[in-house]
Amino acid sequence: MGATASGRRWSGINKAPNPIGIAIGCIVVAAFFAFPYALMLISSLKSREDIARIPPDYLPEQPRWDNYLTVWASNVAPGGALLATTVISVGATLLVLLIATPAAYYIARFRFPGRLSFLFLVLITQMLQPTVLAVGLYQQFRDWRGQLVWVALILINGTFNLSFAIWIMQAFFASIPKEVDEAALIDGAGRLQTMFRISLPLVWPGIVTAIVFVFVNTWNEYAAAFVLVQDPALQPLTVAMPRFLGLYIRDWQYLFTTAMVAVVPVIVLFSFIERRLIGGLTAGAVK
Amino acid sequence: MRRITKAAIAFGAVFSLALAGCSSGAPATTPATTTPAGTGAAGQLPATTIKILAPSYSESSKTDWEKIITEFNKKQPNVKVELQIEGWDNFSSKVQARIQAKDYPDILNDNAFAGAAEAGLLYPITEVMSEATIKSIEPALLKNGTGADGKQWAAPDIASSRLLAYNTDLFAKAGVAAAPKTWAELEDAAKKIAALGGGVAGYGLPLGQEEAQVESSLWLWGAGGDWAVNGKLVANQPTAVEAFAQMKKLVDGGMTQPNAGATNRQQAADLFNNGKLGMMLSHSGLLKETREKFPQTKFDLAPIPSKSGTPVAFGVTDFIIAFDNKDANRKEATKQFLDIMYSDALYEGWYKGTGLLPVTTSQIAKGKASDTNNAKFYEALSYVKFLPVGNPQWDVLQKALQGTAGTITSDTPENVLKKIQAQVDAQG
Amino acid sequence: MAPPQRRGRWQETLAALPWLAPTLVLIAGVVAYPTILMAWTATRKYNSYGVERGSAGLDNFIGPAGALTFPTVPIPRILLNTVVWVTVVVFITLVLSLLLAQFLNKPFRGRKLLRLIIILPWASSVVMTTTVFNYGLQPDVGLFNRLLVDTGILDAAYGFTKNPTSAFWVAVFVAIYVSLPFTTYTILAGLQSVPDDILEAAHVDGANTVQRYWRIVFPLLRPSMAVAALINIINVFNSLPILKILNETPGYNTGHTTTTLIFEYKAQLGPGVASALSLVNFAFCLVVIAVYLAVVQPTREV
Repeated sequence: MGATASGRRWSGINKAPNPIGIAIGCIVVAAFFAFPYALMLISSLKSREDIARIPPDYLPEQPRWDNYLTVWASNVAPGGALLATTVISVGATLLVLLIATPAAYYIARFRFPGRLSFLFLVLITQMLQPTVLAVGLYQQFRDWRGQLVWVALILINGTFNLSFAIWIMQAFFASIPKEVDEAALIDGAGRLQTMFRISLPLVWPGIVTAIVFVFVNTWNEYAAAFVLVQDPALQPLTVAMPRFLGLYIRDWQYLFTTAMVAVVPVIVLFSFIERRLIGGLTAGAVK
Repeated sequence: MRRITKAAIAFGAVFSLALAGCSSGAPATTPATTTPAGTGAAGQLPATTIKILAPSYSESSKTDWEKIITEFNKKQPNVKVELQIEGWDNFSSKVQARIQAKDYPDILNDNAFAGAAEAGLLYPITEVMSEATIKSIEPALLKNGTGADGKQWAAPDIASSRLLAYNTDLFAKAGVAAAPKTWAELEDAAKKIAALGGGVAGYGLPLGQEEAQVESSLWLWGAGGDWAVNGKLVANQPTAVEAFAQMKKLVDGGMTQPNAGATNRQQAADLFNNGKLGMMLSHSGLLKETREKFPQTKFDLAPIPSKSGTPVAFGVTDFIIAFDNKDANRKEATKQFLDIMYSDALYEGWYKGTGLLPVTTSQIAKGKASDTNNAKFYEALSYVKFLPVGNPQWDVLQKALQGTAGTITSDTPENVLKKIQAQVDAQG
Repeated sequence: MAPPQRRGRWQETLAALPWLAPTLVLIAGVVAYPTILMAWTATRKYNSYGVERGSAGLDNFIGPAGALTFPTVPIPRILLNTVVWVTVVVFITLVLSLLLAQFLNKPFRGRKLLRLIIILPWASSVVMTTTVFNYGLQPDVGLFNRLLVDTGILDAAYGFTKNPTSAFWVAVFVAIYVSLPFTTYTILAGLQSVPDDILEAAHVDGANTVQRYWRIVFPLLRPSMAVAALINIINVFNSLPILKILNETPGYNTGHTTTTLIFEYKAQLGPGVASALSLVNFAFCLVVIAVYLAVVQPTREV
């Protein structure tokens, strides 16, 4: 594993990092994390003949950029699937933020009977197997037809991702000294107001971590969506994409093309949110 | 520290108690809704919905179905058709989920029906297809949709037959004059071709999940045996040992592609398409790809070799089955839909989208006349032998074969069949 | 609002309720029914097609075709695999993430781009990442295999995914690979709360790098690391797609964990046995987590 050896050199906290070392580290890390996606990119530009060539060519004879156009017109209609995935992921993320933030805040600020049981109950939702639960979820939500199925998936994804959000946010809230809050309370602000105005801005890294976690998990969710969504036009990407692999005609190149396209929104979202993660907390804010 | 552990354990205990408590009495049945027949005077059905669940044969499958739906809706504008198309890879788990949730599609396109028929979930297909439609289907293929009780539970919708496809260039290079007819000839040919080197394998033996049941059945039949012994399906029988021993001989002799136990037919076809495989059992769907995308690979077709030299014929059909949803309107709508689907005008487009062969006599005749590439496959259709799909026991045996037949690469034939038999018996 | 310590115990819980209620409602509304149904299913007999056939008692657990007793299934090996799978993946992920997070926390040009590259495995979904690895490692059409042969690392293409043992270790690699972004970012977020002046102070005192790290930074990272590890353990334990896609050998081979075995049972033996194993799996996970919570105490600082 390339990252181990090269990463170790910078594990300390040197004030003035060695620029050459940094450069090598960058290259190794970047190569390690990019190589499978390089294969994905290359494969997405191959024709169906090339993709099953033995031995395989490193580069396609003629890059088929048109794969990126034809895929949209295919019956799998990745455009609609991308929309479905985006709606469900954004919805679930907002739902989790709305619900997990007050819970995490309260858990971090107060000790009360049932607090640990609550934390553990939340954790249990993470431990259940979606593969086996899917049938129950299906029975529960099968009358949610049309776009309502997206709402069902928002609720499901939201619930199964609550645990991480609550646990990580409570850890971050707990790291803010109580006095910060109490000052605000004395000034006459309510608890909720204090949470939003005073505490939230201080735990941005935790919130962003939770957002990214929920968003990405929902983006990748398969088991529930697979069982729940009946109408092909409403299927999210994870469920729609395998339709490229028919019984005898397996359009790998389109599968990889769609996968490449699907990476873009997540990366864009991340590049926006990343600033918050890194710059959101000034070093002096917490003692 | 102690506190959280205690809380955790206490909570776990309560939770599992709650679960145990619920399990004794939770009702899991959905009330069956029965609506009286309400066919309108003008032949138009009142507003209702029928559901179709079908796998994706190719990228065009969705459109192929939608064409039929459009036509059907011209006749029955009040009936909403909900079409659900899923990829092949997880199709059976989708079907299982729907059955378990007791949400039965009105029309299901699948490759098995015995389990549903035995459980009484289906209409006999003759109740949801007009006599004329039933008659339009080639009798030899229609027979495959008969259950263990002799009733016609399913109607085939597409068919395929298997033949030995062999690379004529490789045969010439290796100095093999003709396609093998017997196992001995096959061995000889495979040895000579494997000796060519350059990553070329003699015989493609796909004993992976996807087709282990097909490949092992073919070798069993080639040995002159059958899974059914005195009306019961038996895995561990002398003829099967002989068949498995022959497969093992090919593997051990280096006559097959590497990793036979984890190869699916598509992967064998990739080798064949690239001129790296001498022979494999193939079908029209796979060879269409070879013809269109790998024209440099020259091949021919021959009957499937057997121990004695009598050709083995093998066919597969997929089926349409109709679930009994206790609703006369839906039943009538299903019937009218299926009649339209099998009508010449619409069926032709639909079956062509699958890349396989048709099942109606008129389309078979038309195909035979026009589709010269598949002439031999059409010919084989009239005398093919099928897997015992009508027997609910077969579901069990098939899955045991799919999971375990591939271990022949590292175990003795006797042991492999013993394992398969043990799995079958455990579920008996 | 009155300080909490003055109230009675019940009142304290009651006061917490408005803050926790939405979570509880969501869990009750979404998770409770499927969970109960799963437990119920585990006691019912099903065929592989999903048709229910009456009561099964404990047959789904220990009957002739039970989850723990079905012939030819190497149960002890699969249990061992599960333990190896979870510990190796989580441990190596944590160590690598710690190093990566340190590295990414340094100010240097291109840091932002590098951070985006690192989330690729996450952004492109576990299933797709695993699919690419599977495709690249195919012995015939796979480019990774060709690369290994062309660079002389391998003599001939090897079917990494065609053999349960090699497939298992490839899966371990991929599981670490796809867990790195999440864990790295969680730790990175934790690092943001290590104020510079603390480090400065330690530096003045003359502590060396390693000492400083273990004594000052590590304890501050503990809360986020503990949570990251906790979620990782559960997710890795329940991870299905990686092993399922990479282990191409069919049947009850030695490349399974209990989670992939559930899936295998579901296909061959139907939902009853799958649910039974799922319950066993759940209990197993519960024990692991209870031990973890007792040892690590992620809520200790609170």
